[in-house]
Amino acid sequence: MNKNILICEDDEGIVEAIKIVLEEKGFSVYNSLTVQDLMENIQKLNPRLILLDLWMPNLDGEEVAKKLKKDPSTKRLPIVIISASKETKRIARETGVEDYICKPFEIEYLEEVVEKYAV
Amino acid sequence: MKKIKKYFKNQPIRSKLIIPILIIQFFLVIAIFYVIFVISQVQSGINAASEASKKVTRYSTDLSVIQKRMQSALLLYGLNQDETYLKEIKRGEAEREIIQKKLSPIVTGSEAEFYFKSYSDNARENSLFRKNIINSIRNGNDMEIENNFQKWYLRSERMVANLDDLNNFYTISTEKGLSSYQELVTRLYGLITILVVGTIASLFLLYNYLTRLITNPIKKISYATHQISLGNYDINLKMNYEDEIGRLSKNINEMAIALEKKDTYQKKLIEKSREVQKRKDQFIGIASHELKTPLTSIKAYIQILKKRLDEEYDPKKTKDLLMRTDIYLNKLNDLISDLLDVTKIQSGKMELSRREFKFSEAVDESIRTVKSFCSSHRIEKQISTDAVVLADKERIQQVYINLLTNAIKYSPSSDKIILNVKKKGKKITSSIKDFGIGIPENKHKKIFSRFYRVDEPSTRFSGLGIGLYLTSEIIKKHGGKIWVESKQGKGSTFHFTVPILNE
Repeated sequence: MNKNILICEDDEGIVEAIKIVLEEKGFSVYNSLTVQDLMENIQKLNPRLILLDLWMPNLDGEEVAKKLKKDPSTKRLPIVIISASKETKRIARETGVEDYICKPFEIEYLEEVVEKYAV
Repeated sequence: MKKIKKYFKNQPIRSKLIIPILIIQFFLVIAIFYVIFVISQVQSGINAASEASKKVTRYSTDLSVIQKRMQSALLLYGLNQDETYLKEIKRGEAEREIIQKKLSPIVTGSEAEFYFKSYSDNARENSLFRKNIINSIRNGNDMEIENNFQKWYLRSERMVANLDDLNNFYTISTEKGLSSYQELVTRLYGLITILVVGTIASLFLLYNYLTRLITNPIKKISYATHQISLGNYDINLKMNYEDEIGRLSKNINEMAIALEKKDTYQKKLIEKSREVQKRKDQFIGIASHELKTPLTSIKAYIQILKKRLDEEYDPKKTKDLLMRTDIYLNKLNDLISDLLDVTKIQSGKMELSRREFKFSEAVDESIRTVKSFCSSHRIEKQISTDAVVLADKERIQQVYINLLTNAIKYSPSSDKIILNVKKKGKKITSSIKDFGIGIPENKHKKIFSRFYRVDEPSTRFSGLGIGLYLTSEIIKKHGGKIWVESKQGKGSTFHFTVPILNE
């Protein structure tokens, strides 16, 4: 069972922070900046979880989440959305993703969420 | 009383005017009726007089006939001495007396009365002579009989003459007078009819006139003003006369036009302010996200550090994390400064602190700063002046950093930026050219406005979107100009000028 986690995040600092935290837990973290990259990585790496930032250039997080959840081949893939927006909770509910994390977050909370869903 | 007053007050104008007129006409009608009454009295007078006149004529004719009969009787008696004729004469007198009594009260007028009196006197004498005749017949005196016969006959002739006069008088003069009076009365009736018809017609005309002049125009005005209150300004009241109502109509037309203008203007203002509000809200959303982003990493690093310090102490890794934290704190600080600048500009408090410096130095420092956090692009320098300017060095650097950062951000698929600085007369002219996504023509002016982003939130380039606004305010405050040359898909060149002010 691999321990691959995909993230979609455009801010380097946050990517780095998440990598440090999750790599400590033994996960391998890969970042995708475009939808294409993301789909490729899903195919290639068969991740256990996707951490999806909603506010990114070249990538509409909400749309991507909806698409992945509709598509039967990716429906089972756990998705956790990360965002600084007030709408995060509502979007999580509407897109049917597993959970959400609000920015800024406690790293302990991040660890918990990842361990819960990356089964 | 109050109810009556209230009722009267609430009547339409037309009625208000017509009610007093009706009252006046009511009196007129009463007067007319009185006149009709008087005329009818006169008419009956005329009729009575006419009747009387006919009676007089008839009676006097009858008397004349009686008298002539008596005359014949006398003649016949003279011929054959038959006593029956004398009796006829006596009978004639009796009949005469009856008719005289009937005639006496209806003969009026001094001339007619004179004729009748003459007749009456003659009739009395005539009777007397008749008695004389009978006496003289008893006496058997032929000469006396003859005498009295003659006297009686004479009188009789005179009586007939009187009666003729009386008759003529009534037939000619009285009838004439009566007929002229009759004509007068007929004319009066005609006049009264005209008056009555005229009164009724005038009432109708007045009613119509008032309707046309006052009620209808006012109704139209009432409708028009109601339309205006509903927001429909397309009224066009026709002005039929140059009177008060006509002027009112004209004024209302003008008022509608003015109100429409105001309305349109107001709507525009509201639209504009709505747009500004929308952009403000967008900005706040974006700002909030942008500020939270460095905070997220800062917080994460601090927490990682804390964890590390609890577990094991690796100085290299610790130092690395602390450095990163510091960088993000700077980024956060810059963002907050930008926001503060925006509010300063809004409240008119942005001030420049000018000092003398070499312009090219500021440009070089800006380039170095940009290169330090973004090395993806090559910046080609074309600086051809070493002028010293009097300006706010930090703000000028801010301008260059903003424009260069934008150039890099909005040309992700190219790697070159051309920066040009030269002196032109009393100004420094500068341009920054990128080969990126460009800006459509219709947005060239808007991009310098507050809170404006060319793209919709969905494409989401990072950043607050106030950089260009601040840049343009800084240039304007220095007394310079800034503009852009760009086509969508073909890159952008930002130009600006800064007055040197140092010579």
